[in-house]
Amino acid sequence: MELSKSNYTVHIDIDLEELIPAYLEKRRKDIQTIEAALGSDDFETIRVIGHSAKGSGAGYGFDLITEVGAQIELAAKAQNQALIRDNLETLADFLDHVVVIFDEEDV
Amino acid sequence: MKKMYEHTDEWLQSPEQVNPAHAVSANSRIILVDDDEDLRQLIIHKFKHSQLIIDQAGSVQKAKEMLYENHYELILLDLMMEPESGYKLFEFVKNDPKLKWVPLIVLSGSDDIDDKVRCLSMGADDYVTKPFHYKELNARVQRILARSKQFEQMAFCDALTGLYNRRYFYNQLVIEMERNQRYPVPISLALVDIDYFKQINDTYGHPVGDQVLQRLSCVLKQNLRQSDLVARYGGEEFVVLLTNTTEEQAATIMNGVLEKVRKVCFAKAGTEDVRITFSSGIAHLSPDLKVQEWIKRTDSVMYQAKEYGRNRVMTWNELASAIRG
Ligand SMILES: [Mg+2]
Repeated sequence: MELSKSNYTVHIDIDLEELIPAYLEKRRKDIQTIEAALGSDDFETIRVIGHSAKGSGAGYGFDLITEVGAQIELAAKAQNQALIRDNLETLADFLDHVVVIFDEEDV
Repeated sequence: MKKMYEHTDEWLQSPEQVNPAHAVSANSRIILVDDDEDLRQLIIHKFKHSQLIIDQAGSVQKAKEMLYENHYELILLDLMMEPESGYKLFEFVKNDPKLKWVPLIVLSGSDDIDDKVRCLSMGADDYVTKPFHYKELNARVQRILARSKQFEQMAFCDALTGLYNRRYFYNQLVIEMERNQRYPVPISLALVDIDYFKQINDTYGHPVGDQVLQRLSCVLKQNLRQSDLVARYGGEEFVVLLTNTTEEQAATIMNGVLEKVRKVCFAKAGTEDVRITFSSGIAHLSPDLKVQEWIKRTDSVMYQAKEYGRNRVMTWNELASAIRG
């Protein structure tokens, strides 16, 4: 999945501001955990992480995290290492470049 | 035939003032069960400015404990949890006589039609797929809470006094007795019967009698503790369940209420103050007592309080020692 520059910019409601840094930091940790799990063919761990990211990402405002999470969940079920690595790269790239703009809430 | 007296506004107590369903509507307490901490945080954060109180549980085990400890008006349940699946909690809730009536919304990462059908047929009130938009979740939560409150009010409240009715009380009594088997604490039951109520109706007319019942409902609510469950048991009879309370403590509390009642003017009939007293019987829950036996025992103590001259509070222990001499 290629990301254009504009996809790195994410608009998020201001009320979530205090939660965002920790949330993104945890996704960085997810990458490490998944890489380690890939080394031991622990697809169940990878599936659970993908599933969680799918469930929470868009709620926080990161649609891409939901998409990547869903892909990782599916890839883990299929035990498809290559597809998991692809998505990890997309996620890592996103986390490295994301710019969050906090918006006043729409009424 | 005595003339009917005008009601003064002062005594036109609105049932809302003692209405239990009304009282809780502002701060509904709900439980969020999800093993994903990020999702729990998100939901709690988003609901922070709503009137809801949200407790969170990260596992099925924790949720079970909390469901026993507290009363929740709604369960938000994640299906895919580790180590125990959300379905485990779902089954547990639907098999529990108390919890099965609590509205439940499934939060699921699965868009699978079979999961949806399974949940709805198991008794879920709604099924929300993750990721969800907060606004949508909030709308669904509010709708279900409002619905169940209306329903509860119709089914479980006494129209005249706004107190819980006999049916609700009986359900709660059974639930408390079950809880008491798991976590035994002293628990007491008090029956309250207005003395010479028939005379009030006969002398001043039924509207004044109704005012007396409403006013006493208020006095009971105001002078009992938050944790005491009070209901209209029928006619001029009220019932109070006092958890974490011995007979002697219950007697102190009910004597305090009686003290108050003696001082209160319950209605104005012309220039005349309508005053009342009540007789109350109290019995604690002793091991192996069945629900009907417990009520019967309490009723017999109340009957004795009448026999001893009314306007008094008596306990089962007191009665037992009096009989022993
Ligand atoms: Mg989960």
